[in-house]
Amino acid sequence: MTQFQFAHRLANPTLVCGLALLGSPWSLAFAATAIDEHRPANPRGAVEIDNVAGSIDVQGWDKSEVAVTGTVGKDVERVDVTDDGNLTSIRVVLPNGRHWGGRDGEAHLTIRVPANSSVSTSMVSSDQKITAVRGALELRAVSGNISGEGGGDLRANDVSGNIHFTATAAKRIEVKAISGDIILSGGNADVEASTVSGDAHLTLGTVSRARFKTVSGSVSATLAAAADAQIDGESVSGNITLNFAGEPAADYDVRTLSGAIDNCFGPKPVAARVGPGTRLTFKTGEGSARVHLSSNSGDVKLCTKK
Amino acid sequence: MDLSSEPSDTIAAAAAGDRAAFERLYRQFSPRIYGLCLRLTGQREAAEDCTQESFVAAWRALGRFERRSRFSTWLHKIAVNCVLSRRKGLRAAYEVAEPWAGLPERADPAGAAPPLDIERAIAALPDGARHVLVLVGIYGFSHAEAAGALGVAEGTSKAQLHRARQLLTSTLGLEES
Amino acid sequence: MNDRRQESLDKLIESLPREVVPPGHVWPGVAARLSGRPRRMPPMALAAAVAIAAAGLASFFTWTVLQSPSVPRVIQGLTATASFDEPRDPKYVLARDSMEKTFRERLALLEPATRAKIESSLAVIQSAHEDIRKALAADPQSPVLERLWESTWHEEFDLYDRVVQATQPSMTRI
Repeated sequence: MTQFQFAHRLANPTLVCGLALLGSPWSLAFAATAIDEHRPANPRGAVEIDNVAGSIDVQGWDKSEVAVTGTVGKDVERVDVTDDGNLTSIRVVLPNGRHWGGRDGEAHLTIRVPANSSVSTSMVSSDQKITAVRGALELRAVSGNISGEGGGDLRANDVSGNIHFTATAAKRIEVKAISGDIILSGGNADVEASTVSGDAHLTLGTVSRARFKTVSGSVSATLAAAADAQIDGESVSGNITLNFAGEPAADYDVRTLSGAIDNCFGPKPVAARVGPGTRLTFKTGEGSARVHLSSNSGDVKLCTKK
Repeated sequence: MDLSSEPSDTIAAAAAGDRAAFERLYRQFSPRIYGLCLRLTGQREAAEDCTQESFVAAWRALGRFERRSRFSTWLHKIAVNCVLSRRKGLRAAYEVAEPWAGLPERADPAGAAPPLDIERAIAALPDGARHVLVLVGIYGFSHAEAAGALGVAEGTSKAQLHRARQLLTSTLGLEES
Repeated sequence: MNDRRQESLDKLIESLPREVVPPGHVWPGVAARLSGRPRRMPPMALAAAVAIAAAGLASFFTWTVLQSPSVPRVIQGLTATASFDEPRDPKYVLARDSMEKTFRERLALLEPATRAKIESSLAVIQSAHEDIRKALAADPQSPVLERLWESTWHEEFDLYDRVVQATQPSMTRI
């Protein structure tokens, strides 16, 4: 493994002004140091990025190279860029293992990676944007938004930021937010979307496996169901709304303990035979598809796309 | 709500896995649960099954018992759920065997039929009426609690109780005097 | 209804015994089915919690373990056969306390705005947990509530792990 460490220098006003050409809106506002690193990379390799604060903009390109450019605040100790031929790691390190440093602890990086790379990120308080990457994406943030579009499978997990992503070529999508919102466009994929208090809006293609979970946020999905689709939804108090392309032939079992069920097709919901709550159960067609939705107090709505 | 008579220590011990403590709870509360199941189902075998199911379910769910309410109330709810989930298969058995089965809904208007034992009269009530009478009239559930347990509106619970009382009065030939 | 008839009926109902001793063979049937302890944290989740707490490590792959499709299936399978709740046995309590302590220590390393967002998210999860607990108290056998109960535990542990992992000292990252 070859290793290069960028040695941090104290910024001076002349340097700060000179960094304006990097286009970062922050570069004139705080003392910053430029980063410009290039490493050869496997065109189908992996890229791993850790940042504490600031932003990263990951862009796929057609070179077999990882290029890291941007600025780091004066309190950033170093940016480690390492590679072993298959894995390129980029880590922003603050002194003494700190995990925040105010504006001067921010790093704003543009990272260009081979378009077929797989990319994994771990951000603390940093936004991240991913574009034109066709490999698998594993994107994580504690605070900070996740946005972009990608071609490969997607796993995105954000504690308090929002996830806005387009992954129309992904075969498997997992998105999870706690207090942020999810806006996702997917294609024909297996999907798992989970939120605690944020809202999730999903526009999907033909789905074979889907699982929607929410505590108090709302989940609304527009989708088509494959002939053997297994679609499950669970909510504590948030509402679940599914708008299907047509009326899927499936085994439907929808239950809520104290919410309401509203459906545009199928029979009307009735009081549960055992215990409290409302239930809607019916089966159409001869296939093996199923739609099973349950909530404690959230409302459940099933309809067809208009 | 007076919880001072609750066997709190025994409940805590049972919740921690002490089977001897759980058996003590069974000994203390099973007569009430069995009585409830017997009157709800009208059939001994079903009542035994439900009593057993209720205590097994209670063992599994003991960690979720909210100590702000009475343990017996909590057990009652488990027992009611057990009875209701068996009801569909139970009806056929009920209609077959018991000595008090098959009583008419209304007493002979001329009053020629002798007064019936109240237990049999209760057992002969239609399901909905009997369930509410047993829960509210005998075991002290509020209408809200009974409605929640039975999955009906509170108004329905009150109506069913009224109906149960009318039918019993008629069936038992209680005199107007 | 005539008051006298009502009073007569009330007296009859009042005279009914509330308690009927069940036959002797009922308890052995119960005892034979009391397997394990009343409540169990699903072993996989407990193992994950202990791993996080004991080692203080949060690698990329710990997150992956918690997010692994196999973990939810194992937990769901266990939930189907045995109810569980936050256990009180000492081993679990120790592991959970250690995990919370690590989480709190790591949380303190984050900037105030991020800390506030995480605390807020944790409060949302714990509030949902409490709502489900109350609902379960009224309907202890609901499979819907059982699944939601398990789900919120998963959310809470996942949040702890996310923070611990994100604040892992870079020199010890795997």
